[in-house]
Amino acid sequence: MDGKGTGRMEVKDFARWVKKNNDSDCRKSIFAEAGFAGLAFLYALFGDDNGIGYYGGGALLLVFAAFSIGRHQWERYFYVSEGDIPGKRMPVSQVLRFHAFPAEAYFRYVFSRMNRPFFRVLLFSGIMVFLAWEKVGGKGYEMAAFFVGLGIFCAICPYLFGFIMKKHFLFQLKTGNEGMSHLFLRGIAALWTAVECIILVMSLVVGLLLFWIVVSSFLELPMEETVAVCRSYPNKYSIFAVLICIAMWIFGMENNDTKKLSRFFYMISFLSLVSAFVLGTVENYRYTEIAGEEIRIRNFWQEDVYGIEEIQGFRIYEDDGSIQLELDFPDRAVEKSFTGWQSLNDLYEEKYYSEYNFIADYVEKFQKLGIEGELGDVEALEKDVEELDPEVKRGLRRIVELMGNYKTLTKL
Amino acid sequence: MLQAENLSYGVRTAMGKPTGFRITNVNFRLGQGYLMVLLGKNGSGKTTLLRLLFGLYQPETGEVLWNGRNFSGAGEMAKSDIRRDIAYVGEEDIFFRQKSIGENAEYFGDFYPDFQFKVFREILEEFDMDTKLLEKTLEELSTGEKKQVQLAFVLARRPKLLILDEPGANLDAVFRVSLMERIQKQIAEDKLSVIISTHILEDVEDIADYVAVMEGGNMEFFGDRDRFFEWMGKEQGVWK
Repeated sequence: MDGKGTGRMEVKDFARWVKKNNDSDCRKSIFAEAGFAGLAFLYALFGDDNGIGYYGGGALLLVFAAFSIGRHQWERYFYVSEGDIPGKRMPVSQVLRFHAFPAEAYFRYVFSRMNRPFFRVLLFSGIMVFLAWEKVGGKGYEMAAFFVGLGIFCAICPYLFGFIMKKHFLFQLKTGNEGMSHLFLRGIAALWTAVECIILVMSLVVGLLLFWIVVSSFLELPMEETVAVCRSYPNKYSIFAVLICIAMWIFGMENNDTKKLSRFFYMISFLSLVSAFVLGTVENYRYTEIAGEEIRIRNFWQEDVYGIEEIQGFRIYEDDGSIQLELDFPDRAVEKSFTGWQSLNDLYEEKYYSEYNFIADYVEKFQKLGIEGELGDVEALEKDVEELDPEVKRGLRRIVELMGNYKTLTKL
Repeated sequence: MLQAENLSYGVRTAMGKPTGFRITNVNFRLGQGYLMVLLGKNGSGKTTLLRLLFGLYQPETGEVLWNGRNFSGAGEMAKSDIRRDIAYVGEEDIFFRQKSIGENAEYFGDFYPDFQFKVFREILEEFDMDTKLLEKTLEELSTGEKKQVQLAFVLARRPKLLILDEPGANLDAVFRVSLMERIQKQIAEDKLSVIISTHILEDVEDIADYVAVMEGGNMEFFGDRDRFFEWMGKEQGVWK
């Protein structure tokens, strides 16, 4: 400690010092980023073929990663944590303005750092494009164009953020004010905090979903059910997370006086998340399987078995390109049948060759028992019948014949 | 040389709303190696003026010149360069609170070519402070100790101009004597210029070469010590 000041302190040395100081505080944000990436990955992997999964998951990943980069980098280099209070930070400018501190040079240095994490985003983009290409084949070019567009947007994002923050930093340097007068910036910070909280919550969801996938495979539960949960759960229950995050911000996560309250909200949010996940899973985990002369309706805690003679009515329609058989039970609301995925696998091992044949068989059985049914919208009938698979055509013809829709039958 | 020319500035709240208090048309010059005492009642504008001089506030009109360079109108890089010569200690901390005094001094000392850690340690000893506090963080020090440490740091920087906003506040008389001795030593050795704001009239008799008096945002008086006492005799109503 006897060295003489050189007066030529490199801004990068100072930046390293500040960054080191902040790294532990930034860890949660990094987890959040990783969690979000995981979520987007799941969306992409299991999402709908119509683009919600690939485009939605990919877009969210890139946009949030870009935002995340801006905020992380900013917080790493322009704030220092205050003692042992997690999340409590002060702008470095509050102290630096009393020194011969090369603010412009420092800003330029930090700004140049912002490009580095951007490569992570590019890497993720690459993976997403690869996945998209693999899954949609012919749509690959369209997908690639989409990601290039997003990539450009994400490249601009940190710079836009940096532009705003430079003004903010210089304002802090000049006035020593944290920026309270800048409601716009405060608004951005609030939004960002909420977004990061959501991401954090989502990362937990992803963790639980992954756990669930592992459990499912051990229990030999149908994977498609898990996928259905993956797709429906975040949409349905993320509103709770949003509300909790807003509450957390309002009650001042960064205020020492409300530290205990913040912890309480953290705890509440975690418990809400877990309960929401359980509720979502329970609600979504139900499926109907038709096998032989029995219909089994399963959920988490029980399995109800009905004989097919108990059915009071049925309806056939197409949903999202897949034929559905809806059954009317005596003691419960109408249950949608997925025609049973397990049974669907059996289709190819047995005699059906397509779910249309499978359903046609059951329509025949129902009619023999005097059970009346209804034929709803079947998209396949609107298509050029010559394009239909011969087995689909055969099954569809049988269904239409049995249901007495002779006008359509002439097409087939 | 420090020059303030026609300085005017309207104080604003954190929300940017004018408070109605203004520093109006301040003019003075202070050469190298002189000490100026800035007197005034609470709310007279002493702190605002010192902050204007250090470039923390941007004057609405007029300018602050340091050795002929426009300090107040300079960009952040130029200001940073000029601040190598100028030191300021006011109410705020100039060190990071969560780092040890030693670490802070090492880091910030590196911004200044003439800073020597050895000198910093010597000044602390002169101030009768235990050098073990170098291991403590700023948060662990009392208000008085914080100020002493930060004063020691700026003196160890060997600045050309030292701006001190009420350095005697929260500090005992013994320390004030040590501080003034140290300042006078650096005035003699380095031709240090000093501006000290204070309520204490005795400081004028003891140390001042020049005196300025603020009243309601105006500089009511600026002149050497002898002229000040002359002026004061005529202004008994204010300074009795």
